[in-house]
Amino acid sequence: MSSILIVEDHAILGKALVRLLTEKVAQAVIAVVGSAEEAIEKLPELQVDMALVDVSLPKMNGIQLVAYLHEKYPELPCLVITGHLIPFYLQRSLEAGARGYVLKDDVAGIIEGVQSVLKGGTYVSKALRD
Amino acid sequence: VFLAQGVLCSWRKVYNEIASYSFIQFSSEMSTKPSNKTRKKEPEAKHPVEPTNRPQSLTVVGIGASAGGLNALNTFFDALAPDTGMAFVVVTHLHPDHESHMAELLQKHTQMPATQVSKKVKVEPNHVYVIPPNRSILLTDTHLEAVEFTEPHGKRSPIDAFFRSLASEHRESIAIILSGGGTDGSVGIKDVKESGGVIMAQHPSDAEYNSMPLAAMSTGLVDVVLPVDQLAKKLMDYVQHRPQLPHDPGQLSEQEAETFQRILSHVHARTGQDFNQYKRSTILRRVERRMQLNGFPKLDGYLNFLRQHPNEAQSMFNDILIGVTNFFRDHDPWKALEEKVMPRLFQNKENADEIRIWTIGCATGEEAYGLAMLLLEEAARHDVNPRLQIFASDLDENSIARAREGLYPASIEADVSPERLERFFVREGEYFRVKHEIRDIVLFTNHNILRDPPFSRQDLIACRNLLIYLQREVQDKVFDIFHYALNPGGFLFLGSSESAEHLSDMYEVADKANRLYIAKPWHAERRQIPALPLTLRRRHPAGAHGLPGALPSKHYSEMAHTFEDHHEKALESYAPPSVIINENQMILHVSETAGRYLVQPRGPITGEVLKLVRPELQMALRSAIFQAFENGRAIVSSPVLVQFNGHPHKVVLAVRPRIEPRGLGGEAEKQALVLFLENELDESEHKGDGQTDPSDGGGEHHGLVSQLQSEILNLREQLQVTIEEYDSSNEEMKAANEELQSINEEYRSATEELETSKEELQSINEELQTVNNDMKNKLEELAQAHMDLENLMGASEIGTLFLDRELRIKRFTAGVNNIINILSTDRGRPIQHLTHKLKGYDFIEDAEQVLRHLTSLEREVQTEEGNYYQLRFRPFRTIQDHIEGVVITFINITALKARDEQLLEVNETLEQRVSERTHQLDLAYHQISQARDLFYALFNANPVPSALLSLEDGVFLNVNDAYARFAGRKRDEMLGHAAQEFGLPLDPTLQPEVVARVQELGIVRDLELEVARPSGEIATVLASIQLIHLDETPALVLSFIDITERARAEQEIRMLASDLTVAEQEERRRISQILHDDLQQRIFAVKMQTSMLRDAYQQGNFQSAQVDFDQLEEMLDTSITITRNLSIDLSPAVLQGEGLTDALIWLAVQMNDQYGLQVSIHTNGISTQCEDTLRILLFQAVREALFNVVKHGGTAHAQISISKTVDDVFVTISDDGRGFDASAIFDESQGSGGLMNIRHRLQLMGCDLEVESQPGQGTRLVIRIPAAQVAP
Repeated sequence: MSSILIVEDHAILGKALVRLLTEKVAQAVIAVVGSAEEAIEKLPELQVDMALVDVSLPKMNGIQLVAYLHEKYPELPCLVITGHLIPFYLQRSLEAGARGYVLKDDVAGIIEGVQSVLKGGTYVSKALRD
Repeated sequence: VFLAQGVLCSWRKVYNEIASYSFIQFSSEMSTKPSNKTRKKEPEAKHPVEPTNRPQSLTVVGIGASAGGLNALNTFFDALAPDTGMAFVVVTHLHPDHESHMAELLQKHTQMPATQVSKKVKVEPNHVYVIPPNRSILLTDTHLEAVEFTEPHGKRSPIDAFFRSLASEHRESIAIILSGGGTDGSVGIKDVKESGGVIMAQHPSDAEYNSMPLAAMSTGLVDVVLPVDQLAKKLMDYVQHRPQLPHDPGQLSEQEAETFQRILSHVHARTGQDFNQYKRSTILRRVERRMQLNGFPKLDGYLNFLRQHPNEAQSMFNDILIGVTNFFRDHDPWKALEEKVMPRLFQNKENADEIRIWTIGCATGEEAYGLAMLLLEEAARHDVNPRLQIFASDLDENSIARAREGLYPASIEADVSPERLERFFVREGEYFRVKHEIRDIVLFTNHNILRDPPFSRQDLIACRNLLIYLQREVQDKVFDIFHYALNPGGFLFLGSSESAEHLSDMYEVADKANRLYIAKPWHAERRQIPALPLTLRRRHPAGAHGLPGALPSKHYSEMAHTFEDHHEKALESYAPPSVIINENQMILHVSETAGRYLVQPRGPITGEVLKLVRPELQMALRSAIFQAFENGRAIVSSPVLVQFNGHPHKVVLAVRPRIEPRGLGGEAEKQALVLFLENELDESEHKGDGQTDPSDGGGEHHGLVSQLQSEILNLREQLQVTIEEYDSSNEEMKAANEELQSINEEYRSATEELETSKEELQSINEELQTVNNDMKNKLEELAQAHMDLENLMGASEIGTLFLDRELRIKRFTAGVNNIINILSTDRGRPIQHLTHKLKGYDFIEDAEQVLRHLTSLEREVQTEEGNYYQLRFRPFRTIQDHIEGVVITFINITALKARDEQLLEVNETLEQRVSERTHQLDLAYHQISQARDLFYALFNANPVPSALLSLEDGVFLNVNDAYARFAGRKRDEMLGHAAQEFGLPLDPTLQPEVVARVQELGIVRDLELEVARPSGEIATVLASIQLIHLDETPALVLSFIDITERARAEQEIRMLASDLTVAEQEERRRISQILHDDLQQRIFAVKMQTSMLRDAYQQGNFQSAQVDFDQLEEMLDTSITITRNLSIDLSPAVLQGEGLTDALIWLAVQMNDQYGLQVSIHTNGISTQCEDTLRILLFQAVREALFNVVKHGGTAHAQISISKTVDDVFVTISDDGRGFDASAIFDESQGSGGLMNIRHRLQLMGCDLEVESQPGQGTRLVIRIPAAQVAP
């Protein structure tokens, strides 16, 4: 039983992700929050094995949240998920402490990334590996 | 005497060894008069006494420099060895308020300890002592002490003060003057020099400030002048070369004494001054000093040097005569002189009298001028004005020359009171010069008191510190001379260690402490001038000290004399009694035994032999003497019977005439020797004789006898008569003789008087010579001036003719010969006698007229040769303003005349040319004025505002109508006023940098300036400014175009461009957001679902796939709608080539579809056909307005209506909503592509947009479009 927190402000995509991860990652318990602030607020009450964080969030952005989580909960691995195919964001995310960076349209990458991070590994979408 | 001297010498030696008490004088006078002087204490005799040698004492070196002399001091100590054995005292001018670091600074340059003297310290060898600030430093015995100044700042002379204290405490010290300003030190070195010290000065060219060394050198006292580094070396040499001569000249070895004498002889030969009269020990000290200075330890070495260097003798002369003195030296004696003596000099004096003062050894004149000051001050207190005369004499010509100049360094302020400085001196920079008033009463002369006759009839003689240099016996002679020169009751003023008390017959003491004496009256009527010591010497070459040698010879001559006497006496006793008589029968000499033949008769004692001789012998003697003198041969009388003691004796008289060659006046004197030859008569013979007479006689005999007897009686009677006659004539002669004798007496006394007056004449002569010398100098000056004048007149080629009152020629210059043929022999001839070459002009009449009216005249006259002369007549005025004739000058002005004429011609030509040019100028002026009028017409008509302003004050010189219009003023009221008065541009104070640029570049174009219009509105103008010069006055030409509107439009365009960019940016962001937020997320979600679907499909397990196909389809539909809307948003299809109305209808449908807003459109049949850009803009405006209704209106209904006036078409969007603050819309939409932006763009196209809205009353938005932009 792995517990995953999804931070995604687009509800449609959030639902799609829950559906995807529930089906593809075995025995995953998944919670969704719409903003970084909400994540910070709820996190103390939750038992979470990893966080899946969208870069584009309304106020505090995803990379800032990763940095916060990395400092506050160093044992909690974060995987950044984004639609931006921009190496700069990848670099900033890894610097902030993210364990991986996956593109939203790389569905297989999302699954593989979540699994890899849950196992303590890292993952970066294929398109950005170079 | 010799014995006494020997004892004294050894006694003195002992004394020297035990102590060096300076007040005990060891001098040669002690040798001659030891009883007077041995124990005499003279405590105040500080300066003028002989230097007492202190062989072991410390040499103190005083170094004077000013504050800027640190470099010189450093160099000095760098060059100086640290173990010279001397002590150094550095005296500088320090700032009174600042701490001094002089000692620390000097310490870096010497190994000797350098300390600032803060308390009383003992002077140690190989030490450097430095003066503290605001203190003077003084030497007291063996200690140094810093003392507060008594003088105010600015009048302090610390160097002088220290040197003086140094000189008073230490003999043979050393004073060094280094770089410095002012004259400090030049007074103090005198004292040092006088006490046997050495003066050194830095070479002026080596010194940073050379006025202190120069002032010191000008005293003539400086021994060594060298650059400062060599000065240190010289100092060390000097100390090492101290000659070891005995202190007493008597102890010189024989050879040394001889060399010493040769040195004196050499100096005598070179300088004419014989120092043999001076004290030997003093002279020896001076010689020793010169030897040390020149580096000679031995006398003979120095003698050689002296022979090879002619100047050295003069230096020695100067050193011996140390010509030093100060003003009012020794305060107390001068005070006494001022208070006690000066008033008495004026007693019993009348206006015609004279007060005469003689100062001897005046040196550089301070004493003489000091006396003159006292005398003038005293004279001011008396009503009588006797003539004042001060004679000041000295041996040294150089000193006298300096005294005559009367120029003293400023440091005499220490000696002379400010009042006296003010009254008697004129300041010349760093020096004081005596005024004429005082200079005129002092007569300086070169005079040797030992050789030249004195100045007589003095009321006061000041002779200070000169006698001490002279030997004792010479001193007394000089006192004798002074006594002669002084009036009875006249004063003698001596130096502090000189005294005239021992000459109580000549002087009485007036003030013992201050050495003032009064001359006693002379014993005789008028004394003879005493022998002058040096003149005396010439007659007796053996000299005063040669007495022992002279003694035996005198003795011998006396002895010789005695033997002769003895011989004569012996002869006399053997020879018959005799008498020597002269021609007048007076007895000159009587032999021892002749007494028995002589009887003194009754009456006065007589010397006549005929009266003295026994009566019996008288007859025979008379006849014998007579015959003897008459015939010039010896006569023997017949025997005469003379009764001696009752016994008859036969006496024969023999008279021998003789000539005595050495009679009175050198003439031979006739004398006669009368011998008495006696034979005692035998009784028998006597008897016989008696008996034979009668027996021999007889009768005839008897008759003859009686006849003879009677004859004899007759003869006797006759003889008696003759004798009586003779006697009486003799008496007469005697009386005559008496008379002659008294005449002789008178003559003699007259001679004596003459002698006296001759002496006086000599004295007067001396004075006259002095005066004559002065006169000669003046005469030379006069001759020089005369020569200059002659040359001047010759050079000017101006003829000058001097005529006296009778118009006789007095004097003329060569230039006169061009007019009047005049010869030098013509002087004194009336001018009328000479012809002149002046054509038709009688200058004599003019000359007479000048004499009559005493006014000047000028004439221009032509000569016969055609030359022109200017004649100037002036009365000749003497200094007393008497008219003594006429001066006529003849100036050749021919050339001037010719030039005058040339000038006239040139002038005419010029005038002609000027008139031509004037005409041309008139024409040109006309053209110019036409051009100017044209220019002004153009200038004024020019629509560009232009103005001409003065650069200096911004005053309008000219403005054109356009400018006046711009300024909103009349042209006339602007001219002459400054631009700033109207707040117009180019006020120099408002626009300084612009003016600077114009001045630099000459012209500035396209300069944008902001200017206030009269209305207060700020206008922007584009100006062009040019700098021009109107008659050298810089002016600015300003013209400008009003670009206010253009500038505003440009500004708006700029803003709009920025707005557009912002709007575009906004639009892009909006699209990006739609793409990212709506479209992309949906596509991601779709992709995830399709990905899951594909996995399920591949696994063939569709059931497990949780795919919601409805949702998937809906997401795709939504995506399609989004993209469609987006493309419509970006460019609504209705806008492609269709009218605004159609677009508005489409928009109404859209609004209803999307937002549920029902929009009604009322076109009122008005066409809104217009350009695409305007149409798109209008569409956007309406759409934005409708969005606002949706967002803020709170209503579902809106209305669009189009209306029209003649000029404009209006599109109005109104609603019935709750209304809102119109300005809020604009604020809210700011920065976006909202209403604000749209309004700007509309305004640019000549349209406008206004919003009327109040809360609760709906909103009304009106767009105004100019009718011209809408197609009909």
